[in-house]
Amino acid sequence: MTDASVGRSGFTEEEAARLAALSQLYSEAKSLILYAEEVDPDARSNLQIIKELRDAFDHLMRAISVRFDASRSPVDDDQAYCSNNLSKAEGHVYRAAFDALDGALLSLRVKIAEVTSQYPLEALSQVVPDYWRLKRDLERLSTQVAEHRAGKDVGRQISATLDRYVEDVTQVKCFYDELLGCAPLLDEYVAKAKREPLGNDHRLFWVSVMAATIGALAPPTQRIPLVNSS
Amino acid sequence: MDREKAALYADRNRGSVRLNAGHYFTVKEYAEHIRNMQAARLP
Repeated sequence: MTDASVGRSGFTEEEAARLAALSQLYSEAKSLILYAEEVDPDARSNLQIIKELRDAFDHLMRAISVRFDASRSPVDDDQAYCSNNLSKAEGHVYRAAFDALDGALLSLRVKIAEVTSQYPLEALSQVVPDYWRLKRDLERLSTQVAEHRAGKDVGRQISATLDRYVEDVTQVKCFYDELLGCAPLLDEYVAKAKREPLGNDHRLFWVSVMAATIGALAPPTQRIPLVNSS
Repeated sequence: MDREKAALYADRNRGSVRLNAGHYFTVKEYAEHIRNMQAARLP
């Protein structure tokens, strides 16, 4: 700990900077949590996420109570205690964000499955651009759910990991939007596919009728003998 | 992540409407919900 000077707030400069970063992280996590709630097919929240936020709050209050306790002097032990609790608070907010992303990803998967189940595979692969690539990416992401948050320690990469996961979920959201945008074309494709076999049947029927009529009306001499009479 | 957009989305006095209304999964229910959602298959 290099800077042990305590400001008016009771926190060191370093701790104040970490609190500012934590507040920014919280607003990002909150936006993800709200989105996860909105996109959930059952329109329900996940208590596990709220528990993570409660745990973060608990660690934050431990740090605050130490720094606002006038009877204590700012010693190194307190600084280590504060730093440790701030790290743990960050970790819990990150886990809340990862849980929200897990839920949002799977909710989008259900919504995508609901739409795609209404159309034959041929229509999807013909009409939706990159259907197979998008499906493969979605399957990969779905199996990776909860892997992103497997490491509980707040490391240097956790922010980058969260950003990557947000990008992945955004990609799935774009896939869902694209699918909804393709719905009129998919409907048209299915309707056309239903019409065409009927049209072919009609053509085949009338060609058969015409052939039979011509055959019946033709004089017997013009008929091609089936068996050579000579 | 667009941090400004995220902050804007999380602001404006927004909180969890679902929780206020009592619509939430317990941890056990959510584990089941996750399993069901993972089972959704694409053609």
